[in-house]
Amino acid sequence: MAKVVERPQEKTALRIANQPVSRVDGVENVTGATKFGADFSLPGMLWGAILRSPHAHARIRNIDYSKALAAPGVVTVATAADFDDDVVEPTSRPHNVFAGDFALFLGEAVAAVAAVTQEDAEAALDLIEVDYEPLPHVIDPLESMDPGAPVIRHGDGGAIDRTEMSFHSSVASSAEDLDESGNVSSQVQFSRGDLEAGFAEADVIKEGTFKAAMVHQAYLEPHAALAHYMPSGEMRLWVTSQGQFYVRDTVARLLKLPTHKVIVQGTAIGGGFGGKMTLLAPIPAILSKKARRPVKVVWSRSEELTAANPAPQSIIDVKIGAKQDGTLTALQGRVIMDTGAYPGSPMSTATMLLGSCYVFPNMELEGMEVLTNKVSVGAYRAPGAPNSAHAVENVMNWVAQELGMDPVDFRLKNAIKEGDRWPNGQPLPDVGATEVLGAIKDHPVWGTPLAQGANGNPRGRGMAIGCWSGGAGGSAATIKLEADGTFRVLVGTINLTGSTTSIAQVAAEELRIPLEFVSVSQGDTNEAPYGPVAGGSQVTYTMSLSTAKAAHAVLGQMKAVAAQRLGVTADDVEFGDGKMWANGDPDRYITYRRISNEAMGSENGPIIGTGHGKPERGNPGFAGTIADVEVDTETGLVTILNLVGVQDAGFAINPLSVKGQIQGGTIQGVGYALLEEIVYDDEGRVRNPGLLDYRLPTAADVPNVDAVIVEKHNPYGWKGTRIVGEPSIVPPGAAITSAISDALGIPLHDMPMTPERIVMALRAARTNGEPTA
Amino acid sequence: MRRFDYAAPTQTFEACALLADRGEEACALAGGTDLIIQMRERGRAVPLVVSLRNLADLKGISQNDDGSLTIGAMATGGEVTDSCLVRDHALFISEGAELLGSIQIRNRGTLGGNVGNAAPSADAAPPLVAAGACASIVGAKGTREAAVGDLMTGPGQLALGPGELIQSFTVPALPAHTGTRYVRHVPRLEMDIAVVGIAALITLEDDLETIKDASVVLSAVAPTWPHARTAEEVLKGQPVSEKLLAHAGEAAAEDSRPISDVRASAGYRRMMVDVYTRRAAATAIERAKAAS
Repeated sequence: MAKVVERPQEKTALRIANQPVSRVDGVENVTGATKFGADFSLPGMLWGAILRSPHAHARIRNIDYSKALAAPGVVTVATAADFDDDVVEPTSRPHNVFAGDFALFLGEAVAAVAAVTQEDAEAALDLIEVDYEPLPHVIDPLESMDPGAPVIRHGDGGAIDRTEMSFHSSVASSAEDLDESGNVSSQVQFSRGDLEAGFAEADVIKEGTFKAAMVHQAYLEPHAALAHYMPSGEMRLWVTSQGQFYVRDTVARLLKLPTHKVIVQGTAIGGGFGGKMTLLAPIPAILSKKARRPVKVVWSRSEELTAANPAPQSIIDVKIGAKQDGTLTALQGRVIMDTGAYPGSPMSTATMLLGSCYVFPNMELEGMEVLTNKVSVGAYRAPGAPNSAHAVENVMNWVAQELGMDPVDFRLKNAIKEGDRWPNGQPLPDVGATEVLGAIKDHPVWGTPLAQGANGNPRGRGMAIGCWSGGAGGSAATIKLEADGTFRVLVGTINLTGSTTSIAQVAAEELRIPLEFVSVSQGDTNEAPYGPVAGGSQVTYTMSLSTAKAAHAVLGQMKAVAAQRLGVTADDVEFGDGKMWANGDPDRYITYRRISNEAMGSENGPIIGTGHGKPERGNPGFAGTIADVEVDTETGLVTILNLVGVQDAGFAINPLSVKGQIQGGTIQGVGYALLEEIVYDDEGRVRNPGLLDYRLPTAADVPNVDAVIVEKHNPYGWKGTRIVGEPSIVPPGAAITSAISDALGIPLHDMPMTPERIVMALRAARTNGEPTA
Repeated sequence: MRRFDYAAPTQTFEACALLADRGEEACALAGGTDLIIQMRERGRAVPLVVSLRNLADLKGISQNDDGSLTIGAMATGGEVTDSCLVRDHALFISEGAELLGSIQIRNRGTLGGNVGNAAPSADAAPPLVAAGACASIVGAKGTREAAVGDLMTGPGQLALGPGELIQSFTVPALPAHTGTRYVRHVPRLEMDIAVVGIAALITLEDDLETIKDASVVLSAVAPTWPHARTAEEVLKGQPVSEKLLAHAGEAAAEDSRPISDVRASAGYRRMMVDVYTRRAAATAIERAKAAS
């Protein structure tokens, strides 16, 4: 499927940017040469293992680990007592490395052992005697809001730590912290116009309550970290994390070390999706500091599924009104988001995103973040947005159906545009909602009627759009000209999505050399310039600007050297294909290789340039999905027949990589829609702590995802680039559930729509005498 | 993972002796696709792991003179899936084996392991029960025979004495006009575990219209792999019709004793026993006709 472009004319023809390029690290990855987090080891290294709370809520009266210390191979044990009180924030999971006076969820880390072997460390966990006083617990978020529910917070909360959420979204949180005795930790409200009047002028009003399950980011590589506290007082870490500078700052703060003494090497990363930040690194760090030996900890998959930081469960009410001509008049919404044992969920963003795709003249939105005795939640690719889109987009389709309007035309009539405001009052720059909808309308799948299903099984079609604000943090890059005329780019960002390839393309484009003449190195926090967390879809968005600036700095120095040699002024120097020449005289040139050598003897010295900065602003990315499904009404099994992902990438630096992102996000959306759910029992225990019963879609479950790139120029990005990573996961859950609903002829309200839920929904509709397919 | 000792004897009697000596402390390793995960992820302590991989007399698939088929306990899921002998003899044994995990898992996991793990949701075991297969069991006192259907006594429980091992399975020759089918319900298409599994074996009369004999065995809806006896009685002696199959499905649902767990509710499982019994029997009948 061809991409759709809307772009100003380029001054010089593009050579490398906007071309599909295979990942520069691809061969290493597929041949197994790449070293991931768990692959790093050091001589004399110890292994760490973590003791976890067997209770969903308990007071910890005492911890006696003397027997564990005496066990074979054990070198040291760490608990909350090893961290000073003033670094522990009661409302921040990353700053509660171990449970202190209270364990707030089943699986919370209580202590860690470092021993000579992994087996010794695990065996010693049984010897740690913890005196727990079990306390009443609450698992369900609605029950947690009852006045009589057990209170989960203990003592003064302090300000809620929203650091991780801030990486993903440049939109300021306007949530208000609540510090009362209840379990609602924060709330937010947005309003505009007159809601009652808005519904009064509506000809059609549709509403529903939508539930979305707690889901896991399910990165292939579990958390792993190796820490080495050196005699010099330096703490060195090798960590699989999306943000090595964030790990550094967190470890420095928790262990009270000067920042320059903490050196973090972010390793190659086997996926993160928002879930891999700084949860683990402080544990090997404190163990290593106590043991004075290197310590490695690698999580098991069950630890991942019970004690990491999955995406939140939510209950969202949405009510939408529209006039007969399709004009939207009012939106009412309420988000209840289960944040687990610590606050910091994407509740505020999820609430605001209810009103982020369309112009609603009247709206009232409220959101509440609720504490429960479950694992605390974290970020997962466009945190909270799939939950919002699931609710809003299904109701939008119901309204369109009632109006007898094509759902795309209905959306086009109301789509948000430049100058319109989001619910928080922020005016929007030039966004691509309309263009994404246009690409859906033009897609052959949308234009082809559904064929009859096999065995009389009903088929259905659904579509949805969604958006994500994205991050726009500060970043920097350094470029060096090497002796042979090639270049090295040094960055501090993690290559989570293939961004290294895009950075190389930007450098090659700006320096006007072949891609093979550029290498990108990811340096540790000591050697590399600062790079933002690989979250919020911001690495390529921000680093392309910094890399271009660094290239310009380098080119400036090179031009000065060349100018001297050519006997002209630097302004008169032209360049390309690894050469520089005086304007109008291309035959008399000096090669980059020669410039590198000449520079050494010149006043300039070695050629090295750094670019740093921050995009003027973020610019939300829009995406859309078309899904065709067939449903076996006897079993509830859904077959996805067609799946189309459309996304506005602004300017696709590497279209191959952008398509991969669209496909990946869309497939994760299939998991949201049909399969994935972390299930808790009444005691607060995860009932499916493995990838057999926590079901990710397999290759057999997803059809080819037709990825369509829309390119609507973003004035704030390099050559028009927009954020890419996150938006594609936002609409598929809504589109697929909507398609099932269309097939069955009944409204559906839950994600995931498991076969059992589908069969039960059909049965309920039949029992109530409602028409079904 | 806890520390453990590992033995890989080359003689079956050695393996039996090791298992008998260490009793509860020892466990046989017949592929490891369940055991290793229990040890790694769920903290199961097994002080002695006895690998059966070097035992030659537990391997291989062969046809016997009386027309029966013998499958070694250490035949892998992949071998059972791909074996022409198995496919020609009783297709549903191959179908059940083909559902074990992924290709990689099928290349490690074994038929004996699938039976020996005694999971109510096993996919490879129910076809053996439905086909009336016998297990040859070897121990310190020699060899004995037991019907596979009698081996499992409950989840994780097998009627094996200390030091006893399953050596092989023998599937009797199936009568003329017989068709088989194993089908399961899973939320995703690969890498899953049965929510409901149905093994159906149908033998038709010479008229190819009347059911002479029927065997329907259930997976994942009872503590063991039981026959759906009422459903079998419903089918036997009756002319094939949609109504008959619907009746059999309902009877099988009544025969099932499912529990609610994280994979499905008991009520939904019962509904799926109905649906899949109907579908499995219909396919088995088609195959019986096609083979005649």
